[in-house]
Parts: sequence; structure tokens; C-alpha cells
Amino acid sequence: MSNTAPIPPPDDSDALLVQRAVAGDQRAFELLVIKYQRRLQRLIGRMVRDSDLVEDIAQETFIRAYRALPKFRGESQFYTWLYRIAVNTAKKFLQERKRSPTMSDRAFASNEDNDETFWAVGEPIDDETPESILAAKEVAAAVNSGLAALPLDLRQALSLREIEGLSYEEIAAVMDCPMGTVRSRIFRARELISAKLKPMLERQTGKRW
Amino acid sequence: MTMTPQHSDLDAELASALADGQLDGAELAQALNWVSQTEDGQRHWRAYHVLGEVLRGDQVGGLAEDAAFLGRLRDRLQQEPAPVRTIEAANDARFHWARLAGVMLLVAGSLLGWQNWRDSGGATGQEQLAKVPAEPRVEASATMIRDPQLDALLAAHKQFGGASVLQTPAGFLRNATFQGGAP
Repeated sequence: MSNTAPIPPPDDSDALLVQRAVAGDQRAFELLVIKYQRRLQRLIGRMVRDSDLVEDIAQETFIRAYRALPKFRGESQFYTWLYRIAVNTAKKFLQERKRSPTMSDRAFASNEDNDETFWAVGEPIDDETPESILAAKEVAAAVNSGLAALPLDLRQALSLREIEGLSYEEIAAVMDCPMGTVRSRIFRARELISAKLKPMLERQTGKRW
Repeated sequence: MTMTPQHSDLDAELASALADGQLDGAELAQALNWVSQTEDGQRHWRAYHVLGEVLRGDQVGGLAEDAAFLGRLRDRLQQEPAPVRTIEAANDARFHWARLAGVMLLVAGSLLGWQNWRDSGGATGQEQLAKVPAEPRVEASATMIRDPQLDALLAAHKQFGGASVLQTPAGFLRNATFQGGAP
């Protein structure tokens, strides 16, 4: 696994999903939720220790984002926009909870500063259980072993996309093949890894998606 | 949500390309429908994104809570009114068109006005230019008190204009050209 900072690939599908959601397709918004909820919760988890509070803030963030969707003009990435809403929502929660005498200090990250730069990257939320940590490790191991077992062309295509963040066009140029082939290789790579991953995800969530 | 235990490879391939933002047209519509309207589509969508997060080195904790989180959020979203574009946001394009149409109307009006004025004047080029200061609109007012000095000044300008100012430099240029001699 790469230890460098993750580079989320450029994604135009967000704007399409936003358009659909604004046109009244709530399922399209749910796809954005499925895509970003873990990332958003990690972000909020660096501000707030209490996992219940993290979820509350994440829920509120998505609700606020849903209400404000028509104002999203696509001038920034959707996640950047969502990130700002999350930070503002978290700040508001923290201010309100700090005024509450029943709220313990344990719920908050130790630093008073709300600047994202101080947040300890990767620091777990208190309520992460050994089981959930183990489950996450199992998923990571399955993905990484799945990637290693892929034929070279599939592994290369998927890595260029997911790790390097290249577009299909760029990958086609690097691999000297048509874009349709790139799309097919990335899909087959994902399917092979997902075959191992999906049962684990279903086992963890306790339901089929 | 529809249960579709069997999916076509094409559906899943389109979902994969959708996750990468690489679709448009009919394929985009097909992928969006499959991913958003079927459980199988959502499972693929989720798996593809978790896979990507792991490959990028993100921690994927809290996976067990994903479905419950979405379920709770879905309940809340059901109670929300559908997001509606505000007038200025929704009508951005219309406002641009309205602005453009206004400008075009102004330009067309100016052109028509200029054409009418030219046609009604019945004079040609230099005469019209010279007449402009001699026909001030203020004359339409019956209560206007005119300054005799202003009349004299206007008359002088009219004479000056009538003498065709442009002829002098034109003559000068002609003379200069001929006298200087071309190499």
C-alpha cells in the first residue's frame, strides 16, 4: 500500500449525481452519501471524539448539503463543498455542546483550534472497537492481496486510476491501448477484488445492499 | 428498491465507469438507474468506492455502520422537501439570456432610430454631421429662454460646419501626397 497522501481521482460523476438529486432523484443523493460517508466521518472524527456525536454531525452535514444542493454550482469539487459544510456543522455542534453543562470534555478533540491542520490524521475515534479495527484490517488485506493477484494489465490500469488518479484518457496513453480497453480492464480488476470484498462488507453490515 | 440478484456485466461495467466519472449520454442514464435503483447496483457502487479508499491508503473503519447510517439518513431525507433551486440559481441561464436579449433589443432600437433619423434628414454625410449641433432638442420647449450669445455661437459653428471641415485636411493630404511625390 502506498504511504503517500491519498490522491482522490478527479470525478465528474459527482456533478451528475448532484444534477439528478436536484431534479428530484433522492437515490442519486444517496449514492453520494455511500461514497463520502466514511471519508466525512473520518474528517469529523478528528474534531470530535464521541462516535455518536460524529454520526450526528455527519447526518446533519448530509441533510444540510441536501437542502443546499441547488446552490452547488460545481465551481469546486463536491467533496470540497461537503467538507466545508461538515466543518461548519461540527463547529456549530461543538459550540452548542460546550454551552451544555451535561456535556463532558471527553467528547471534544483536545485542541481548541478548529483549523483542520491540527487534526491528528488517522487518530481513531474512541469508540472504535477492536472488532471494527480488525474488520477494517481484513478489508484492507483482502483488497491489497486481491490487487497483488491481478494480471499485470488489470493491476496497472486499476492502480493508475485509483492510486495515481489518472483519467481513462491518460491511462490509455500510458498503456498504449484504446480507452474502451482501459474501462474494461478497470472494471474486471474491480470485479475480481470485489468478489472477495463484497461478502466481507455484507457480513459486517449484516445486510445485503 | 428493486431486487435484482442477477446483473449484467454491462451494468456493472457502467457502474465502474460511473464511479470514475467517465460516462455520458445513454450509458450514463443506464448506469445511474441501475446503481441508484437496485440493491445490487448500490452494493457494487459501495464496493468500488471502499476498494478505492483502501488502495489510496484511507482507513475504512466504521464499515459496519454504513447501512444503518444510510437507513437513518434516508428516513430523515424522506421528511425533507425536495431541494428546489432558488430563483437566481435556477434561472441563471435564463438571466443570462434575458440580459443578452436586453442588450440586443437596445442595439436594434439604436440602429432603427439612427436609420430613421438618417432617412428623415434627407441629407448626406457631411451635411448631416454639420446639422447636428444646429438642431438642438431643447428647441422643443416653448418656455426655453435662449441666450443670444449661445445663438451666435451655434450660428458660428453652423457656418464652420457648413464650410466642411473635412475638406481642408483632405485637400492637405492630397496636396502633400502629390507634392511629396511617391518614390
